Amino acid sequence: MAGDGGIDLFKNFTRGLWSENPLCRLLLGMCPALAVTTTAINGLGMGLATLLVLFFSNLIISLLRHLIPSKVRIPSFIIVIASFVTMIDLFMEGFFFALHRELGIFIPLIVVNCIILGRAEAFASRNSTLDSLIDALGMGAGFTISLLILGSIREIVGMGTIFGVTVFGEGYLPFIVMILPPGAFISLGLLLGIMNRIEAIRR
Amino acid sequence: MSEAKKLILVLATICFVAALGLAQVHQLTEERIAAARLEFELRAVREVIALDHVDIPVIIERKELAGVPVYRAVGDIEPVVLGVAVVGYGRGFAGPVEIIVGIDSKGVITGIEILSHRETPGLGARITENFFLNEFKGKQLGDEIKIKRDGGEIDAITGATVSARAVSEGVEAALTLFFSEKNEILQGETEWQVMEE
Repeated sequence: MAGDGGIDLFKNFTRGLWSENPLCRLLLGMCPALAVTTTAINGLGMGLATLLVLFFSNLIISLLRHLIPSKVRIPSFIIVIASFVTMIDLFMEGFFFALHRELGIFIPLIVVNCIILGRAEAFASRNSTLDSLIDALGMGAGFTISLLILGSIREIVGMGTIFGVTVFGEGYLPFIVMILPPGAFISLGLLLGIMNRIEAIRR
Repeated sequence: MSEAKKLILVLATICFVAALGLAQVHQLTEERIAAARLEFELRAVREVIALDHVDIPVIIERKELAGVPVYRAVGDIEPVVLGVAVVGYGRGFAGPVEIIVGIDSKGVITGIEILSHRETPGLGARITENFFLNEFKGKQLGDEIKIKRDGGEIDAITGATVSARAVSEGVEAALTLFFSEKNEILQGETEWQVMEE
């Protein structure tokens, strides 16, 4: 990884989507990924909330990277991240009340999502602000898309609907295990397997 | 400046700025959040009290009785209680289930809604669907407000007995509270807080 301004912006962005996809390649942020993806809309909401937090935390941390002494960098990062999560929590409750009720406890838990601290430590504290913002968008988008796919699979198979709209008609008998915790592991495992397979073929 | 002092200064500054930012956002969103919560509550209250057939202006009032929120709809011109909504709690599969129960002045249930729950989506969470909620309409104290497995008349949801039981439990608690506080709810005049006119 090059220093300030040394990275191809496009490559920097697409890295988060595929080759370093936080959920499917780095296996970070498993807890919210498995817990909230019972429906497509929950996955999307959680993904977007994480993307926003990641964007602002990368912004502030890359701006402060020369000012924060390395001995107190972790507490500093956590304060910055926790503050943004709280702000987004408040905004969501005020403006997207229904979604906020649905996601409940998982919004405050974004604080301890490894992706956020991971990007702060591994990227934003070492790279320029522009690169860090692109990194946040790429990683955030990669995470959001993964959660959306996971949520869609589980909702379609487990409830027979997508975004609340019926796909299989009345006669479909939902495969309930898919929306229970085991379904999360099964879908994630299949998703990882498919991605590994595609990678193997590409090489 | 010694290193320790520098570390303290940096951390303290970050904390200070973060606190300022949080205070700002809190102030910005405080009203919206309160309004959203109130709107959510009122919508549920209006839903369960079933006010559609009432065409005179009503006032909705709120008071906590025995620590439980109780709402009543009172006629604006003639102060008669047209309907009551009492919150009830049940022990669900994954946490408490909060139910609001609409009751008319005779003690008959006019409708129920789920305010909050943490039940499994697609399974226990089906307690929020109308086919289940409607089962409670028309029931009153003395009826067996229990699921069939517990000797009552309510059809539980396949695979979600615990969730359905939690709702019955909450509805029964709300009805019981209504009867023990009936005089205060139907005639009490003090400390009722007006929520909407």
